[in-house]
Amino acid sequence: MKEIKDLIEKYYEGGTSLEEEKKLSDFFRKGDIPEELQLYKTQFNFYESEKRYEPLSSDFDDKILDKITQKKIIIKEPQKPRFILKIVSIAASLIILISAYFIFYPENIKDDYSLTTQEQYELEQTLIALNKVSHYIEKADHELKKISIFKSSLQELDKLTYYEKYKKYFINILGDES
Amino acid sequence: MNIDEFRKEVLQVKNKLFRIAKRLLNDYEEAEDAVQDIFLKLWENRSNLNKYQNIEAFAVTVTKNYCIDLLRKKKMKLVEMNEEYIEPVMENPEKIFESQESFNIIRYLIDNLPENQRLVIQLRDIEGFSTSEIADIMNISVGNVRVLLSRARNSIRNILTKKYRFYHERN
Repeated sequence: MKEIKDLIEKYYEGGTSLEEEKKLSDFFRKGDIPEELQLYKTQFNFYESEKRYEPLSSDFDDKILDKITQKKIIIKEPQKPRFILKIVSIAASLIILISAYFIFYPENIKDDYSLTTQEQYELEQTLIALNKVSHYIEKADHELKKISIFKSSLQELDKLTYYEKYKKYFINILGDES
Repeated sequence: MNIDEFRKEVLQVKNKLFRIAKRLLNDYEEAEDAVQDIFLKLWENRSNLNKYQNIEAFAVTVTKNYCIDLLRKKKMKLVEMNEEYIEPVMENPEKIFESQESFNIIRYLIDNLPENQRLVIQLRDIEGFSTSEIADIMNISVGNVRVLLSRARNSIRNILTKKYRFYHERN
């Protein structure tokens, strides 16, 4: 009995080996335990019963194996998720287009934007700059029109070659009398 | 590792993993879901499993990490052993040494220990892992395993002794 009491002390210091703990557990599983050690009997018996607690049966194995084999099939046929992905992306772009319509449709744009003086100033400056740009573009456009005049003049000049051609022709017919 | 080997070598530890998960999560359904997820993870990593000499201890480590992550995510507030600790109420104090009543009390005591003490009791006193295996699983030193074990075992004994004396003084 002294050995058991020593082992109990060692057990509470965290110093017992697995074999010593088995010895304690075996001791407490047997019948006649002195009153003062009843407390320990309860504890060791509790651990023994917890060891035998096995609620998961072979149904659980089947569930896991099912999931594992299902995963394999998915790897073999990747079309399914891609198909879903396509539908989702089409739906997403539709949503974006529809919301863009509602956001940017002129009727929906409220014109109650009030500007600060800084913004107004910037707006005016921008307009002035844009006017200048358009002025230059107009000017340049005017210059560019001259090119078309040049082109039409070239066409006129081309007629001179006809003149030369017909001149020879008439000379041939009428003889060299002139 | 093929399916048959997986079934024989890995799935056979399911109840051990379940008991540990349930001890940490304190919930049957959650523990079962957790163990399912853990096995699927192990299956995905089956090519690496042969590297581990002790697949069981590895599976337990995965389980521990998984459950502790889950607890952190849920920010579950654990009742710790302190002044505010609520002691279990015994419906039939005279039956203190009749197994069901006293087992319920011990279960309650363990489930209300701090996480690492709960785990160390589960791994040693219930699952019977060696001190060095527990050190590996919990990622602490062998010395710390002993300290933690001693603390957890004493916490349980102290409260049980109080109950025991209370009953005897009344009679």
